Amino acid sequence: MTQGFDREWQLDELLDAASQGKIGPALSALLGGDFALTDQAGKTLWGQPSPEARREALILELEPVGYLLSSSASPAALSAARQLMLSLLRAEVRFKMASTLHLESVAEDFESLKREHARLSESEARYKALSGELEARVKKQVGELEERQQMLYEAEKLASVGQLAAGMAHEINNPLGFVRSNLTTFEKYLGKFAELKTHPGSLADGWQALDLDFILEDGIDLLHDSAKGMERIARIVADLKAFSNVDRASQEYADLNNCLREAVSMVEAQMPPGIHFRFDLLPLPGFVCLPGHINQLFFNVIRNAVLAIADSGRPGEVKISSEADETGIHIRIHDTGVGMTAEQIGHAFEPFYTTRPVGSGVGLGLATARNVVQAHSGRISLDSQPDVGTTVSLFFPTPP
Amino acid sequence: MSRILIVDDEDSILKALKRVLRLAPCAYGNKSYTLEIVDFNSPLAALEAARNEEFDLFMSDYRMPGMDGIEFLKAAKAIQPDAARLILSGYADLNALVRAVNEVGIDRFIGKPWNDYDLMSAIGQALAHRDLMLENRQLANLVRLEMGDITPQQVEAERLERIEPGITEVNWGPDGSVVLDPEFQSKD
Repeated sequence: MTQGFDREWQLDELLDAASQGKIGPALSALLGGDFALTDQAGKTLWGQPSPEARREALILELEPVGYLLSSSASPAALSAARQLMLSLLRAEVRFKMASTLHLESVAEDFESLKREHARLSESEARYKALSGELEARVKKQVGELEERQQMLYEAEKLASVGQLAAGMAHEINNPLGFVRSNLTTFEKYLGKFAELKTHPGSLADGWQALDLDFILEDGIDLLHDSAKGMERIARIVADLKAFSNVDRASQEYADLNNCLREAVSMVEAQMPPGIHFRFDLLPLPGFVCLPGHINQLFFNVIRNAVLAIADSGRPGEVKISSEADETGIHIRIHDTGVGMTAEQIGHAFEPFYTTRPVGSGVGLGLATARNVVQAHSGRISLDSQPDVGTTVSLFFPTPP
Repeated sequence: MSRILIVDDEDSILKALKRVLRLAPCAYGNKSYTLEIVDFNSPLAALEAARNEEFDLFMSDYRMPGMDGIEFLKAAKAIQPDAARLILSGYADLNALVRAVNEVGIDRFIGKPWNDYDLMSAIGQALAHRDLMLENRQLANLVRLEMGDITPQQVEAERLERIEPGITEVNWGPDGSVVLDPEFQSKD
């Protein structure tokens, strides 16, 4: 469709062979057999035009589209035939125009539909590409986030290792210092005893002169001190080992109520008077855990509770309750001891943080406890008020 | 006999130190010092003693409850500026060390665990340094006195100032009174 509906129509377009066949005989009868039809360029469509025939122009708009020729017909008949032709041609033009317009608009619709479709599929492709890109970007960013989180975790671990090392240095260097010094001194004490052999005079005189009474007494005291110092170092190393989970035991099913009772019996063995326990233990489902570590955890928390009551200087009670729901196991250990300030709660889980005097605790209890709880994907939280008491809440998720 | 004050919150450390320092004299060069040890497990009690008795050397732990070693030595320095000062500690961060040197002017930092020989020579050295300083000052004053740069009154005032820092200055209160001890001044 290269030409519009409103173009100039050629005569041979308006009168195809079929309509020529219909109109030709009628015109021929009207004009007495002698007639011819040419288009505007002079090409013959019908009849045999003779050069001397009269021409009537067929003008539809401005320019003639063709000519009606006759040499014998009267001018009036020729003019009437022209009028007839014109009205026929006009009807034909209108029909052609309408049908062309119709075709054009249908085609136009179809084109625009096709264009629309192309645009739609293009934008769909673009969105597809975008969404793919987006997915890749989200994936990449999630990966980055995870990496950062891992780095943060590692950094925190490193920081806590650093803290551990610094605290450990102080805790271990103190006993190490006096043990080493004591042993050097003891060597000198033994030298004094060796002198006794070569000392002139009686054994008793020599003993007296070298002041061996004091040396003996102090030597025993010195060894006693050193042994205690060594014990302290051993305890710190044991705590550290538990803290870092060096000797990883195998996992097994355990009843946490039993673990609680075991821990309590361990604490009870070295408990000051005036403290009693109250149990409120509901049946619990079996829990897959490292029982040694869980015992250590309960022991640490219960020992803290007992010490908190002992510090308060009044009789008190440790209440231990457990229950299970569909999400997991809840354990609460409540004491009526000295409690903690907000600042102390903030530091409570830091390794080597302790409120106790040197030698009686290294401050690894709650740090170890938290490590054990985290190893079991659980949660531990502290709730405390000074002079009222402390509640430690533990939660261990059980698989549904 | 040199008097030495030791502060550490741990009794076992104090006992071990006393054993070492009692047995052998601390020597430096051709000088040898026999020591009299006074020990405290609380810095506050030690400060109280420092107010009443004279010491040649203070040795303190760094990490102690109540008051750290630097605060203690700072306070001790204010009371007895001529005494030597040492820190004996198993743990100190850089910050603590900087404070110890800049604020207190310690003679020596000794780490725990210590080596007995190092400890004794460090004490000997600190005492010898202190002796030298005092002697220097005395000789310098003698020379100044002879040259006429300084009067005997000034020498005496300086000596008194050493014994009781601040005694040669009058501390005027806002109302014209003389403040003898600002610690007892009412706070308003």
